[in-house]
Amino acid sequence: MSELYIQRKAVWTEPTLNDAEALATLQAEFPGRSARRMTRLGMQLSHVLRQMEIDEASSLVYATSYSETCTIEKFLDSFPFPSPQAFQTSIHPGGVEQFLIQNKQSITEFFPLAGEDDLLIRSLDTVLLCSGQNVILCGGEELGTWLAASGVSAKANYAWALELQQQPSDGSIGRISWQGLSTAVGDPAIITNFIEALQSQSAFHYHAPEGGQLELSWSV
Amino acid sequence: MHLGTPHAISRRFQELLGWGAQITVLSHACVTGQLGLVLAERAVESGKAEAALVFSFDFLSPFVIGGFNALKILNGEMPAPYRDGEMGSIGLGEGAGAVVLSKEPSPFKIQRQALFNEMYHFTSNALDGSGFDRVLANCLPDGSQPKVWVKGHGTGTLEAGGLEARAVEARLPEAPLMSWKGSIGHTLGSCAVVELAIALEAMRTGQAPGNVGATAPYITDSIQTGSFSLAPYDGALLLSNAFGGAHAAMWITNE
Repeated sequence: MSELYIQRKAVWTEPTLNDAEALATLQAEFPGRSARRMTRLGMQLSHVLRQMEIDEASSLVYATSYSETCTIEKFLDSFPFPSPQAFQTSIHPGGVEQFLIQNKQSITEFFPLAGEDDLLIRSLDTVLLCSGQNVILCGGEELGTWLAASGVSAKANYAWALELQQQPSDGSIGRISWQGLSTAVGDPAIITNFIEALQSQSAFHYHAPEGGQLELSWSV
Repeated sequence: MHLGTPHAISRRFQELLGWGAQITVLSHACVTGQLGLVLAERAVESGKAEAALVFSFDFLSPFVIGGFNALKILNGEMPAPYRDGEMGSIGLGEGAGAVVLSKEPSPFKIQRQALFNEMYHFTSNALDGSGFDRVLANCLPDGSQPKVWVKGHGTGTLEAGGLEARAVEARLPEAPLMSWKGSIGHTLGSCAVVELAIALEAMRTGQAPGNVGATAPYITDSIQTGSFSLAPYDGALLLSNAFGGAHAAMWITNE
């Protein structure tokens, strides 16, 4: 069985806000000029990453399926005169880079993943291969417009981040364990349910139909 | 449209080729392939995998071509990357490569891999070249100077090319440096794996191609302009560089 211990967690979701309120809440966290340049996903990720302890010796794993969806839409809409700004910002893993570049935070290891149903499991597996003095796992998506209608966008705006380590310590607040999922295809709902459990700090169990399981539990 | 996402393409290969389900999809511009090699080595070394296949690919699409054209660094006259435009330019290419890493005996051995991410700017490196130097320092600990030749990233812009060449010359003054992107193009996410395949073949035959697509005057005296014998060298250092000031390096030897 593989396991990781949670030292810190941060989650951004928008269940109680309408879209304009949520965007305004995010934008208020950044100076006006920065907010105008940032993508919504970049602001969401910045919101959660600024609650993590990150320095140059940290490892960072980033899990997203669709990345900067709205900027990709803008870039594609800009043809036949493609926008350099939209191209630059749309490149994966731009959401996390917005946070790190704005904070002039270099980092030794950065593994941006681009998975789908099995993304959470693959990102946890990747954390186990990191060699940084601490490991931050983060993820996020933004809701697109016409890309959403085409089925290549997340269905909600969210971001999350965890500081994880392989051994328990006095500061551990929770535990993630998983086993037998190396051959499981994954479940589209797993990430949604996992983030809900992170937000509410409640227990979460996932049992794959093919066998194998993932468990999230809390010690505080 | 859904087939255009990296995970959907990987899933398609999985179905076509009968791969197992344990597939990690990485996407980090031009260091993507090297990140795969780093994780694959760690998975094998740690015993989490008996062997790991690193498959990396990139293809030219209007999205990519339009983007580089918008940034005004697209070379429409491949090869000759450094001659096109005042800033130099990137001659795009398409590529796919696959490498299997395992503990089975092989003439080729990874001595060390290293990463560093500057986070200085989205599309440029720190102007003091510190990012290029840091990844070299991480890959060659304690100031070691192995007898290697260096396959640089050689992205095609004068600024990045100059920073890379000067950093390599400072760390490894005796090492010949070359880039092959003037021949095969910049194959973006796949370049580390594609160029690793060329490097391994060069090591197998004992002869490596020199720098392709640029003419004198060169940025440093260490630029290797013609093909050369690998007999004096114990191995190679292979470098990659990407948007965000991402750097990756692999030190590989052959017996």
